Amino acid sequence: MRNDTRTTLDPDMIDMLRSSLRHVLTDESTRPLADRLADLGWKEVVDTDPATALRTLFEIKGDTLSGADALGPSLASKYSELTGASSASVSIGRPGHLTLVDGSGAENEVSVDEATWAALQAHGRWLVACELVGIGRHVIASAVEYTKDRVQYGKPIGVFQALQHRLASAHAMVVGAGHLITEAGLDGDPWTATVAKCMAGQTAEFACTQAQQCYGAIGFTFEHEFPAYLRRTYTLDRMFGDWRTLEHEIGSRLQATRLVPRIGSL
Amino acid sequence: MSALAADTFATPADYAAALADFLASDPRAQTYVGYRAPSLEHAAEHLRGFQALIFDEGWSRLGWPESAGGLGGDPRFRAAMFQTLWDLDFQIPEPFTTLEILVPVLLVFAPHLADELLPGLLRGDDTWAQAFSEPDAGSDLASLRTRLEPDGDGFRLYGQKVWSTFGHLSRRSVLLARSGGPGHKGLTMVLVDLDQDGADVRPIRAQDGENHFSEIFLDGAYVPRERVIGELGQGWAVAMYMLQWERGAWGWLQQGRFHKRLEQMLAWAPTDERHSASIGHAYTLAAALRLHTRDTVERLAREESLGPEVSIDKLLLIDAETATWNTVREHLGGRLETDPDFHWLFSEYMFSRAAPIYGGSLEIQRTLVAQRVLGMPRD
Amino acid sequence: MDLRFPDEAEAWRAEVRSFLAANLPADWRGLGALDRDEAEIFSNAWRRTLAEHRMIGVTWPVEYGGRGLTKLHQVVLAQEFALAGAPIYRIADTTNIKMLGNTLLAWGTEEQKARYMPGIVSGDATWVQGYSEPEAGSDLAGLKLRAERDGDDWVLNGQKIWTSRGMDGTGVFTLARTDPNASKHRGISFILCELPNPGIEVRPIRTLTGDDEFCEVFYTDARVPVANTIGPIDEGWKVANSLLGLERGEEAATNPIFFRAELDRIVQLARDVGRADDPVIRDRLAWCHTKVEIMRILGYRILTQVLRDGRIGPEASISKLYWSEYHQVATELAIDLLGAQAMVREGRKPFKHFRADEPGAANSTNSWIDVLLMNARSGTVYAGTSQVQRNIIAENILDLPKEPRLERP
Repeated sequence: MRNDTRTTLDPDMIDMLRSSLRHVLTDESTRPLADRLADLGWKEVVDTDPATALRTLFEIKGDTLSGADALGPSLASKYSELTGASSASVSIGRPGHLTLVDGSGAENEVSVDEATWAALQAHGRWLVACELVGIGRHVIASAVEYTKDRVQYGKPIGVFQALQHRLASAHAMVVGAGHLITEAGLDGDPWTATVAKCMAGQTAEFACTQAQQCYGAIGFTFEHEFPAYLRRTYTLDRMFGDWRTLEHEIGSRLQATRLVPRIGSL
Repeated sequence: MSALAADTFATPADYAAALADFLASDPRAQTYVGYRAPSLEHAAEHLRGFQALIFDEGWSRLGWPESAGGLGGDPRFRAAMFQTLWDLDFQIPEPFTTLEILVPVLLVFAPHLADELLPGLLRGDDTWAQAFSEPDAGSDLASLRTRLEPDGDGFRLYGQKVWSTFGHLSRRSVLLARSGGPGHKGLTMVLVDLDQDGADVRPIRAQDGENHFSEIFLDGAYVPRERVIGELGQGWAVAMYMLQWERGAWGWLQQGRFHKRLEQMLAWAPTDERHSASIGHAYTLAAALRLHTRDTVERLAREESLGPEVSIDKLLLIDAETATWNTVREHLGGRLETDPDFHWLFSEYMFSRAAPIYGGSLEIQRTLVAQRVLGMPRD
Repeated sequence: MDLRFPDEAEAWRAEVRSFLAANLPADWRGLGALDRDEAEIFSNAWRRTLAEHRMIGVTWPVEYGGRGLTKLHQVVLAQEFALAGAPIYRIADTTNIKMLGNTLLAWGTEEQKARYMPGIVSGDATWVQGYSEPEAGSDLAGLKLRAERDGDDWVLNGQKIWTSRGMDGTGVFTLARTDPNASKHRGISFILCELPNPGIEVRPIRTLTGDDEFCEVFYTDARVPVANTIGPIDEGWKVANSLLGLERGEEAATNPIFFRAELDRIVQLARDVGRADDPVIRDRLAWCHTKVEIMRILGYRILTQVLRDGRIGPEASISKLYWSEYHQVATELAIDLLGAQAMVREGRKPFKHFRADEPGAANSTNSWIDVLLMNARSGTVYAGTSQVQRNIIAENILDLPKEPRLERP
């Protein structure tokens, strides 16, 4: 986990955080995620290094395919940070509009200024990008294991370069996307979040399609965990702009400004 | 000589800012801004003055050890210099790209050579090439056949090398040859003078009309014993160490170029929304390459060993390089290919088509990542 | 390549057209325009109509329910049905007619043909295919289902998988190993197993779109008469591989029609969502258009070859690779056009799990999501993966050296 060199948390702490989050996100409990996170001292971790904490939470959410609602509460925290208004969950509507959900589940649509809305959208893009990267890592690792076990023509199919090259290309993309979500968390810049979401969306889709080709027929059934990852990927990619739309948005903005931001400095 | 030293600057970013000030204010430096090379040979000649200038002023000596004529500091300073030069539209003199790959190897495996030769190399008084591939040893480099035979206190080389980048513009070459039996263990890395009888360098005209590569014919070229890099028979290990610079540090250097070319391309052509997606695609990949190779540079600065992971740098480089130049060509319409003012850029474009081949092909990198990073089985 | 059809084929075309005009409902827009129940009812009734009018297996001899026409006639029929958006038979008949019917006619004994052909023609029988096994997918010849002889019976033990629509089968034609000591491609026999059979259990596998498209078939001391072996014993590999020609020829002629109709739906979708003026979408649509046109020409080429030589060469791999990879790009475009709407499922789900959704299908999210996830994504896996197709193209068309140290069929 090389990206974690850019954090104030020490490596042991991160390992612990990862395994606790894995546990919290996959347990069968019906308690709200926020309560379960509170049990493991989440607030302290977030206060120490919010970027690493949230990135890790969403990466593991992607990795474990957890259905826990982490996005709404995370956007609510961000909204509170920006405006001081508190809510249990926030979802982003059409430009300038948010839906706030209070503790009792009551929904309330509000209009907000452009800057607040854009900041929340960027935050959402970043969090979903982290989840997509978690999915990408997971499906590649699982497909690698499958190609070691699956034997055809008297050999594990992983010896075939056609499959090796698919997974290697996908892995390189996942590594690249991993750097972008890390940087987006650190610089807090909406532009980086958009680029990260764009890269993460195409990466997760590419990783899934390459993995599925390695799985063959079993990858099209609910006998296997894989299809759920594919479906989650397609859904997440569509949130806050799918990767093709974002590529266009990014290119359009570059053409409009004639400036090419260098993300990350030495 | 300047009064610069590594501790003059708190961070590479501070160094970059100071270098930018120098380049913007020094009238000699200003004559090199926006240089567009009419040919590689012209560039080699013209930029020698610029290379000497930034050496004499100390800027290019940061990031190299003092023992070897540098001013100390880690490789991040070199990375910062490349970034600054691209950003301000200076063409990076070709020898820098070669020494960025070769000199780290000398520092580890032949420090006496680094001490002796680095200043001349950094200043541009001396130029080196690298000679690894042979007509029958490309991806399968370990099958190479050029022989290194003992002769008195030294050795003589017999055989043929090919695809030696800028070989015909270089005075010396780092070269991998067979000193022993077959396989990896019989290989030795040496530094050979090309301006001697027994070494014949012939340029190869590449598809853009420029002499990017050379063939080197060796018929008894002499190599003194002290020009052996590492131990006899250690050549493969030396080559592997070199790869992490070739694939890692090179990636950082190139991302600076890609960002700059995208910026220039936007300035040189009117907005066309049809191109937005491909521009966004290239930029996203260039950004990923930038962040990944920044990490690599930092790891190299910490003297970490990168191992097979460095093939990931190359895979990201190939994607970014291919996408960047595809969009440059698309966005400039036919001007890239037809406008004589863009010959220099067209030459870079044509060279970029080799990205999936040079420095270890795309296929080799994918196989390495699959087997040695992901742990997929080998046949 | 002569793109015109001979006069007799054109005369037949007119006949097919008038049959369709007389028998399709007046407002026919395709099976896709019907809901699931209506489609089921229509399909069954239509299948009977086809049988009554001898529109099933027109190349088959008259005594087996056909018309004794040529392969070209069959292709013309398939084209006209595709253009009219009319089903050529029930979906479950793909293996029934194309595969088993033709296999029986080529390899069956008179007794076998007399016994099984009437049910295949009438539609009372539905034969499904039992080839793949858990350990034998791309490497099909590695199959292990054992058939041991006991008197006049085979006793089968083992497992098959990925049997499409196995739950609907009245029988399964299966490849079993009858001589375990023979080399890999020998010692395999082609055996008909009628269902139900107390030794054969069929279990559905739920696909990623939630349908029971595939089945596993378990054989536990299942007894089947040796008389049900099609073709010579131990020659089943040859029997199974002898039939690709006709199927591929027909496919080459009809795929471009189906993919054209699908692309028309995508163009309509672009208009519906207001993105027909978007230059990027237009580029992507134009890309799809050229691919479908190329597919059409490629189809003629393959068709010509099939009709001339009676068989198809490795060129079939080009076609398979081409349409399967095209279809993934085209369906991704459809999903992109749906945008965020694609996160909400609504409308009729496709009931066909390969190639395009049925003609007449609405541009609903359920149609496109399922076609992308299942039909298109599985296209590069079923009937020979893209990796296998590329190897065939490389080795048998380009004459590149074979991959090192690999067993090959």
